Amino acid sequence: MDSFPYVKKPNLMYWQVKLSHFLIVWLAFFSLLLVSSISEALPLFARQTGQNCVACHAGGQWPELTPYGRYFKLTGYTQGERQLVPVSVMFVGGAASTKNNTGSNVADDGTVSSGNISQQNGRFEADNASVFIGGKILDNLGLFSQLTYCWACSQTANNQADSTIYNQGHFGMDNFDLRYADHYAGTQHDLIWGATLNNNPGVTDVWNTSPAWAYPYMSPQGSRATFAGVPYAPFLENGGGANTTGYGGYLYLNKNFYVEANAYQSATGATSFLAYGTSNNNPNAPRTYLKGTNPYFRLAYTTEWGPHNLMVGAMGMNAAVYGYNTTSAGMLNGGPPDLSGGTMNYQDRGLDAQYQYLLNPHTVTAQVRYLRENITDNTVGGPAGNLVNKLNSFFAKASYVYNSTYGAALGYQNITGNSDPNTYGVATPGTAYSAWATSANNSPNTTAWIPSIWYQPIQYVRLSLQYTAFTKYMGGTSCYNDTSAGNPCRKASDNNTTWLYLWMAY
Amino acid sequence: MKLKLNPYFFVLATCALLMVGCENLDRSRDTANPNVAGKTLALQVCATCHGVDGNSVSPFFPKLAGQQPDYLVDQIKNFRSHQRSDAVGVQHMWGLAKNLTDAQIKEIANYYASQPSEPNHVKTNPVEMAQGKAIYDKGLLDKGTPPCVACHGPNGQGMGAFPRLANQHADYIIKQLQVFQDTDDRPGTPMKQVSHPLTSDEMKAVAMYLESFPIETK
Repeated sequence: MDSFPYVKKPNLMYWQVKLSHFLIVWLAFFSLLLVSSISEALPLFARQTGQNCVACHAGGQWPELTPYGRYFKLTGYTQGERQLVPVSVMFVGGAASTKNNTGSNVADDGTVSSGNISQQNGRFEADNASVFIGGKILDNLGLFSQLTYCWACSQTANNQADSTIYNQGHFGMDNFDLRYADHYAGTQHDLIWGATLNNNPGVTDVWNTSPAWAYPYMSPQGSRATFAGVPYAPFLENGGGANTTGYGGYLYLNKNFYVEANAYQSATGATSFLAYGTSNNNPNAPRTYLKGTNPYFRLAYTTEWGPHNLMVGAMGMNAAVYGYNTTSAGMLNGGPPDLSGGTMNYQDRGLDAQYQYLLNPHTVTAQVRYLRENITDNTVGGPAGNLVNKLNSFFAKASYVYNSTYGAALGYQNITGNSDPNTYGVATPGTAYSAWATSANNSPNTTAWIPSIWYQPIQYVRLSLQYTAFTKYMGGTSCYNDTSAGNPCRKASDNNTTWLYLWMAY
Repeated sequence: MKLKLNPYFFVLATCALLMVGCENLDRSRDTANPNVAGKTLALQVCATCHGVDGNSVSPFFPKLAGQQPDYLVDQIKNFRSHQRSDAVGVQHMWGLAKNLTDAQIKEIANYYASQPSEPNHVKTNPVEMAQGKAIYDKGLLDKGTPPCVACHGPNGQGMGAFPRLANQHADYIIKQLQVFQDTDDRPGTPMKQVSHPLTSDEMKAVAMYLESFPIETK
């Protein structure tokens, strides 16, 4: 099934050239700077500090951070010994299987056909691979950057633009966080402050309630990821601000009070490298164009006692996002920005909390987050049926790891919102749509349970079995989908998806 | 294939090059720079887990406040040389100690040795405390375990290469006793023989006694 029949294949030569530019510059940049020796064969930051992954990751369950890991990030990735080759690599691959992989498609003329939702259902395949470049640059300057290559991302399952699918068959800038940080330590007062240039709201966060770093930490790619979680989520949760230019600063006082403020803009001009891999010509990786300066804030209070530590916090963002001149580009998704067409305005406000118990051989961690979002459609003839839509998102997760080797987690995602036929239902009669992605009652309401178990025989290899079970999907349970074209009912549980995968970093 | 490099990166790279050599010795976290003072590393690096005054909050990490400087020097050097190879030490300390100079190690040790050890506020079980005190003061002579007080002192303050135990986290003491008993990861001490006969209940009792050590009554 080809969801994007009108799109030209990417010009691989062009991308090869762009990638060469990028890697050459970064490698040159670092090789000029770094004067040191190669350390033990562990991933980048572990090589820098000389420590095991468990020092910074709770029970070894990367990317979840310990208090020490949070300190490492807040002080700008500068602790330890500067590396001559500041590079790590990561690979994720496995087999994802959706309970009922047969879905109905409705053509422009109303003809119903059925086909596989995922062409790779149940097959083992590579999902993505990353190259990390980063670590200590100067005493107060450090970097975390992640370029990710995705194998199957062209296999999108529905006609929804998915901003988490930023690439197909080439590298893209996944995460970027360049920091300047300083730390005034003393017995009476303790202050860490820093400034950051980054590419995604929340990527700077050090708690794993932040959607950028929250469970489930990994999902299958492409169409196999269609049912890996809730289909609609607020801006801060759906990666809407990914590949933009963010800059700001933060303070952390007495290991109690944390405040951060960033501003986000379109990644253009000098900072277009922050959106590397996105393009006006790529329907799977359209560049995000924000109107003006878009504020993001983060507040947190932290405390610790014995082996316990706790954070309670708040986060929020206002974002105005341009649509695309899709039609003029001859594409179904993406295209150049429609700068005169108005913006979709997202206002996210949330509360969150995290608890950790860290004492060998036991690691217990839990996170909760509640986000409310107002979506105002200020676009001309915009996609939403209502001027203002609301989404409420609740997320919770608890996990236990024994001896940094055996782990189990249970996640819960719940999305509720008002109904909107254009956004969640059959948008326009007479237009083709994927029936499994449309709501019969025009609702985004979805509930998903995500249990997982994993085994980590060595610190940089994890074998996981992750299950996503839907008790409600797009407003329904037994027949959630639009059946007006005569297509069969689909149950929420038909979307339940199992993923067995291997996650390695070196 | 024509390569055209983005000029902005040259600007960035040039700026960065100009900054090479810029060190922040007063607040550096560079564990491989011999010019950084040991006290600075103690405050910037060690303090993250062991506390700025050496009174760590989490029992995962030992308290270093008031610790014997000779003992601290020995341990950091043992981490550096990989002579001490208990799992947690390997995971957390080998890398940190790897490039430290003897002078830095001495400064770190002296800094923490000079910090006052704070008492813990933990609930105690009188029976367990009595058992722990008996083991500490008199040993388990029938099993061949000598009294702890002989080396660690009447106030649990330690002496030279023998560490201070007073106010240490009980969980840390128990785990180290297990390391001594079950492994050869901490060679060069008499603790292998000393800990050999101890049951887990006896380890717990003496650890609890030391965690809430009643210094003022001594």
